[in-house]
Amino acid sequence: MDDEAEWIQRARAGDREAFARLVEVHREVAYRTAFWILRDADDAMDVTQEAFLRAYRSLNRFAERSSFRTWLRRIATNAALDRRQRRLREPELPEDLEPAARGPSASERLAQAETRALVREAIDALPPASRAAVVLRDVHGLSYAEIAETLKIPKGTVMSRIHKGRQILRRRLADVLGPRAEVLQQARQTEVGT
Amino acid sequence: MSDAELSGFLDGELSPEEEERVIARLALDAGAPRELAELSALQELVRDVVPLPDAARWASFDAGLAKELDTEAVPDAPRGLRWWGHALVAASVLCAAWGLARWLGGEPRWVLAAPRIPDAPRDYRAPSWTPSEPRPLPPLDGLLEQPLELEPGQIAALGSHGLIQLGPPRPSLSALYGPEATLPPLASADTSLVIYGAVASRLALELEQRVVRPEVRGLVDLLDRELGRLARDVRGQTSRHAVRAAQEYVSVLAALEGLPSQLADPARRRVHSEVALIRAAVGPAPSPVLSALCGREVVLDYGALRERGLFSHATGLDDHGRAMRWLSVAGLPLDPDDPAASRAACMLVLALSQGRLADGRYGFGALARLEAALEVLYGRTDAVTPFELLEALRRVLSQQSVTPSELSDAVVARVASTARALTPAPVLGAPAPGELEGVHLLGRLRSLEGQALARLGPGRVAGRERASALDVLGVLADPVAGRRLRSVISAEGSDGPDPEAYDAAVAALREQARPWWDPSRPVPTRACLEQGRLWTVAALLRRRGLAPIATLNDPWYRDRLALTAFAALNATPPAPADLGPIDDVGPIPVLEPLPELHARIAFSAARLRDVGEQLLGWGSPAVAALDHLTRLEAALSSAAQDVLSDRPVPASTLQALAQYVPTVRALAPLDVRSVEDLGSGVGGVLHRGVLGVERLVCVGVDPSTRRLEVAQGAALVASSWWGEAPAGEAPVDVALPRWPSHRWDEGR
Repeated sequence: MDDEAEWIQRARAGDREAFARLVEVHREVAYRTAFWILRDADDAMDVTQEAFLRAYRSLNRFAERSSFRTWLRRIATNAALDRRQRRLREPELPEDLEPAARGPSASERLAQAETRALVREAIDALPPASRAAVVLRDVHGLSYAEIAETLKIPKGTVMSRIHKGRQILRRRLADVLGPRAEVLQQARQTEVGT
Repeated sequence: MSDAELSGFLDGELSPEEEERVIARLALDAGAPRELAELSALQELVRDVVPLPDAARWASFDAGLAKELDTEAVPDAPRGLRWWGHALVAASVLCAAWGLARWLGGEPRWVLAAPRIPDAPRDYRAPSWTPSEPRPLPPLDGLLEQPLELEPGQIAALGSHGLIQLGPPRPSLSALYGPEATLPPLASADTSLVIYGAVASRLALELEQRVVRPEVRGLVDLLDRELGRLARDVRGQTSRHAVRAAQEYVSVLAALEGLPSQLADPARRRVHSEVALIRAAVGPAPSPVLSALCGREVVLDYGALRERGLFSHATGLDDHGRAMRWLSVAGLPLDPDDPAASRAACMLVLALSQGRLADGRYGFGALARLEAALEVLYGRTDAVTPFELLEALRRVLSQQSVTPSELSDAVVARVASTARALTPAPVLGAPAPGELEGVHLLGRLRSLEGQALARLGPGRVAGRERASALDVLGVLADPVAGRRLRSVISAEGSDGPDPEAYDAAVAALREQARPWWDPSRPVPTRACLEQGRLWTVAALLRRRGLAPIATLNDPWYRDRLALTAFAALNATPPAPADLGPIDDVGPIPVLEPLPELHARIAFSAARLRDVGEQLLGWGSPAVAALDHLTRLEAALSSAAQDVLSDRPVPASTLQALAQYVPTVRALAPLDVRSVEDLGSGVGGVLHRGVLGVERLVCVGVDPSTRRLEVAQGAALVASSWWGEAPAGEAPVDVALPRWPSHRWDEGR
């Protein structure tokens, strides 16, 4: 992360290339954060852009007490919440069923949407402590240390909460997971065999 | 190996030893690979809940962001730590309060009003007026019955400055306005300053009664409820002690505001003792509440908690005044080495952040509105307030919400030092050791005057019970005025003899105040009434480029203006009552031809009127008074311009001037039966004003011709030394007014 500190330093001085590096590394986590709140790809994209703009403007106020990624996530969270607030009165198309210029067919997208809805429902049903840990790890992609910092719990507790959450999800999503796990295991065995 | 380690292995979060264990298990346990595969598939499923954009979309994103960044400047320069935390939190809370108020249908007057007030006085640059050609003024039919033959230079000066000073001999003008006098009333600059001061005080009083006090009572009620709840819920002895201490601190306020509180003995007894000490204003004594809170003897100067200023003028505000003093004087110490008081302060902040007022507003929203109101009245605080403390808590704990259980000694110490670092530097430079070390719910030393007073307070000047506004003037004005004030204080002041330490203290304070005189530095008069008036005096005295009157290097005249302006500060505001239209008419006054002074007063009154309208609405008597004053001063300015330009005065201006007498009667701070009382009464504030006019040329308007006339008796014999700067010090033999009180003097 020394490189990152240097990029931040350069970006503060107006070096756009350095800021572009930060964007490249962290745009996914910002997008994931925004999407998790908004559940809409276009809105999440807009909010991600908004989050980076806010971050750029405020770069000199970033005290580096947390990581840049944690700071950016906070900004993205706030921007997404703002957007959601504004969107409350607007009609909303169902997730993932909006017309797309290209990509999977309608039936494939419907199947994907159903699976996502199922997974999301299972995640939402997790106990709060486990849910937070699993979402921060698997949806937002945070490290255990970042999750520990965010939730103010020891790293060991993070691991046990994630594991507990995953065990519950495994049971609830067994029908979906079974075939996928088969495929994965076979692939792994093949990998080992070669 | 635990099952959890399999998850950790999948996430790449294990130590090398742990990884080895997992790899061994995967090799030996037939079910383990299957479990790992399921976990991996699950992870993929969960990750896929957020469908990621494809590469083309990211490319479009990068291009869009780059385009947006093209319009951005280099990242904002880091701001000083003094204000931004406060401002950020205050702004967000204000926004929340504003939104909440809109949501609840309320009128967010404070929020709208505060930004409309200029941060610094406008450089009022009125044009100067020169008569078309030098000419002798008509002979006088005045007291001396001799013609007044002004020289061309004097006439030019009259045009540019609106003021001519003549040499001795000088019989007292006040003698002309004796009981038997039949002269027209004199609209003097002093009268305008005094009336302006009284009306501004009236606005301050109304704000205190109608806005500040209700908000404080609401907050006390909230804190009492929330701290009661915390006392029931909180765990741990130190936390419980902190909550109880905060409860006691708030209960002092509740008792002074006549509100109930939930305390039981012995805390209740301590609060009663505290309130008794405050009411008795006994001087320095150990504070029962703060001593119990800190676990050591804490001495408070209860004399400093005496109700002052407008609180002492208004019926029913005495205990509220003491409550405000308690809030601003008795802070909770933020000592990193002694976390008890800091923790209690944190509990107050937690209660504020969690609780709502009876009308549904959040505690910090109400506090922000109150802060905005106090800014209008007294300017910005330079002490730690709950805003800084909240910001410090958030910084130290890196989270939005805070719970009492997180307030360990180490955390509290860091919060205390962070909050202190966020505190703005005082206006007059570094504070003395031990100052500004506590958190004050409503801030502490707000006005320049207040800061000056604090530094001139007990302990700095031996033998003086307390400082007064006159001391401040001695500091802010100049050495000549200071000497004058010294003689006034010595002869007339209520504060006892004039020890040598006084001179030393004033000299030291003057040095501290030097930055205030830097012309490039905006003077923070933002909506601060007292400071605004102080600034006016300062402008009159020192900043000649901005001053409405050229003072012609005459320290005597500067003294007179300064004393008059401070008479305005000391004046009792008129009783708040409905002030309807003023329809009466009276005689047209003669006036000092000082268009710039009247224009400045009109401008200031209009500004306060607009602010008052935002905050109190048009039904406010103070707003109505300010409106009357604005029109009157505008008319006086206009008439002065006309007479100096040798133009006929428009009928509309004459009509406004005809309301001078009834308006002054309505707005005067004292019970003035007639404007003539101004010259004949003894000890009246306006009387003093007239006393000071004896060396001025006053110009009146002849209503029949609407032409300029020199007022009878006001102009005396011209002197051959006109134009020379008077040498030496101000005369000391001039009879100075007696000051019945100096109560409008203490800044909060």
